Amino acid sequence: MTEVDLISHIERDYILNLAKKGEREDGRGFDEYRKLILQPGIIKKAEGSCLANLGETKVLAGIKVNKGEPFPDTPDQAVMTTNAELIPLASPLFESGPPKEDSIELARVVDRGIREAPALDMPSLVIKEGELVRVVFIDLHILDSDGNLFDASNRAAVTALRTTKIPVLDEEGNPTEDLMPLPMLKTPVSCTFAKIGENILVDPSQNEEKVLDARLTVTTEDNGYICAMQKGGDSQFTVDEITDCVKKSIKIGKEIRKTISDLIKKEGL
Amino acid sequence: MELIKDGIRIDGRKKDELRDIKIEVGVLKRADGSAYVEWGMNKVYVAVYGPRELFPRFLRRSDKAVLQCKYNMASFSVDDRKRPGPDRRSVEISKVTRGALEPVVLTENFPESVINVNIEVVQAEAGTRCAGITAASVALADAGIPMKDLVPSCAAGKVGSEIILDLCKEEDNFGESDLPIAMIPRTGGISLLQMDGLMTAEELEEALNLVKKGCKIIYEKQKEALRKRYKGDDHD
Amino acid sequence: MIHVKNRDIVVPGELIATGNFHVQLGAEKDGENIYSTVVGIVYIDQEKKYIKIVPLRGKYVPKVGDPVIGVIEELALKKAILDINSAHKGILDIRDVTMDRSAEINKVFSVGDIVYSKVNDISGSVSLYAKPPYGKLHGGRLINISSTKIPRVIGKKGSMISIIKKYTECKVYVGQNGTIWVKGKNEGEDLALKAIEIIDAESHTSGLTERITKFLEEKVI
Repeated sequence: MTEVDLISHIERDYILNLAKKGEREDGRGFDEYRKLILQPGIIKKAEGSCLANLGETKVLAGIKVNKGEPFPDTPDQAVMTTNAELIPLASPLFESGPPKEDSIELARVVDRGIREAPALDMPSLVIKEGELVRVVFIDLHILDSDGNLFDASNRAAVTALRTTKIPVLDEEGNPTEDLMPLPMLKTPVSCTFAKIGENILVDPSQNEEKVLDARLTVTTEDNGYICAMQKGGDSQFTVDEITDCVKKSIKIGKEIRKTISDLIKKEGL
Repeated sequence: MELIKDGIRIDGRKKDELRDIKIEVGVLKRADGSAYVEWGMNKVYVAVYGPRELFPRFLRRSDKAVLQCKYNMASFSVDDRKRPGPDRRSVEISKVTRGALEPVVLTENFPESVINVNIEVVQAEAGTRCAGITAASVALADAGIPMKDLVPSCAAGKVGSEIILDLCKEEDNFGESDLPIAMIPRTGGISLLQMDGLMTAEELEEALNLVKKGCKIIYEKQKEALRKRYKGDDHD
Repeated sequence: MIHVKNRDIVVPGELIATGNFHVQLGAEKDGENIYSTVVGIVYIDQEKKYIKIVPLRGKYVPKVGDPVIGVIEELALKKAILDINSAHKGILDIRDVTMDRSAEINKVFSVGDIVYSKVNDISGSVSLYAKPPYGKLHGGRLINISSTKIPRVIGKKGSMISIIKKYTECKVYVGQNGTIWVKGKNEGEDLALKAIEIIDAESHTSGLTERITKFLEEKVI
């Protein structure tokens, strides 16, 4: 134990009362995200990278692409792994050491969205079936933890993937001077909701996360399919609430997808 | 590969020239104090937490605060992906970093507590420990922790027969020797000293003089970054 | 000899003065030289020959008699442990909360409660005192600023805090540890917090009382 993840009753009651009135601590509407700033390509040592700022939350995603053996049960698929580190830099509550529950859940939720969409054309990254494939590492480095790490990590990861450049291989599988983008099929976008009392709001802040009863992350892909979901928190959602969140996720997913595409186009990445 | 020719180094610098250094203060919201340094290709964040209560209890000191330093590299910070988590190198760097900062921090003001210095290297290319120490002392000051001085740090080394300042990647990999140093400008004391490779006593003297010049420049940048952060408050 | 200007922002290690000065705060002597140990604003009294550097940041350093506002983090058998934004937790013994000898701490407090208290003792642990007029705070709003800026929120002889109370019609309790509690009507609370935010951001500038008065006057009318 170093610090306690605590919110005072006074601050909690204030947030709960505001929610009843349809308001939020930082003046946002229930369906309103904090400002998203994406900075792709800032880590030159990585094949792809993106620093995502969602409000004050900062997540840096780095993509490294190696070569390796495929899994025996998927000889015709590339390998992709997602890892998240809640490093002690990012919060007084994070400790160093092996990944704990929260960072493993975070990595797996982000991973599922990308894997199931699927974002990456995994078969096309096979070099020699059953023997050699590309191995894509998605590493999420949390720099400042101020609420909604799920969505900040998702934005950082998919923007990094979409701007990753890897060497083209020659016929023997050796890298050439030429670069190519990763074969991307989709851009999965997650949308995280907090249920506070009877209200549901998107993109919870750090204080809202401390008071929420339940949390729901819905990831959707370009065609409006849901590709991953994760419920968290100690309370429950009704079916109506879930269908409503899904509808909102599809709408928000479209907007974020456009933001990412526009940015990539504008910067010529 | 020729690392130095007619006094000009492989990356175009002169013998006594530092790479470009940019320091920002107060870049992380959650931390009690923070700093970000870009130094050539190096990109380093530092967050300071504390002084706060130390657990487990038996680690506490009744006469001073414990300074805990953690140096960590992001897996994507280097060409070949590094496995996440601490390795022997980062544990050693954490230790010498603590030794570099400890002499200036007035730990005696906060007995029984801990001050955490977390150094995250998100991009690495020669000289990350010096960049980390340079950023860490600024982040400590930003956290309002009393200290005797800031701690600038940089390396010198030997390439061919020349003594040079602030080694780049090629010089680090293929040069004769590497000498990372941290200095306490007020006293002229040296609080980080490591070396690997070969060097004569005379060359060491020359290298230390060069480092002193480099640290002076870095010290000015540290002070400037801190003043800029707080003068900026004026315009909020 | 003085090497900086009055009210300059200085950083650790900076040479402030040489010669015979008293150091009150934020600096140390090394032979004849006086060096800053913090990022802060330097105040020099040339006549009385004293120097103090008021830090711009830092955790609260408890002093006996200081009012502080803390949040209860943990309840033990007969005491509560409070976060008071300091290097150490504040300890509140049940005997320092109520006269009632049969009182139990978990009936009086729960984790997350905000308590207005006074620092009673700092030898060993930081012990607090919360008998009336101190005690648990109900409702209202909280704001945390750097403890080093609390003197500006209070103002000379309480001038700043009186102005805030007057215009916002709020009750205001100021903890020396940087936590401030306000309670009034919603608009009043919002306004009081806004004023405190301005003081926090502009604490090292002069003419602050006038600017806050003007700000509040404009908003209230």
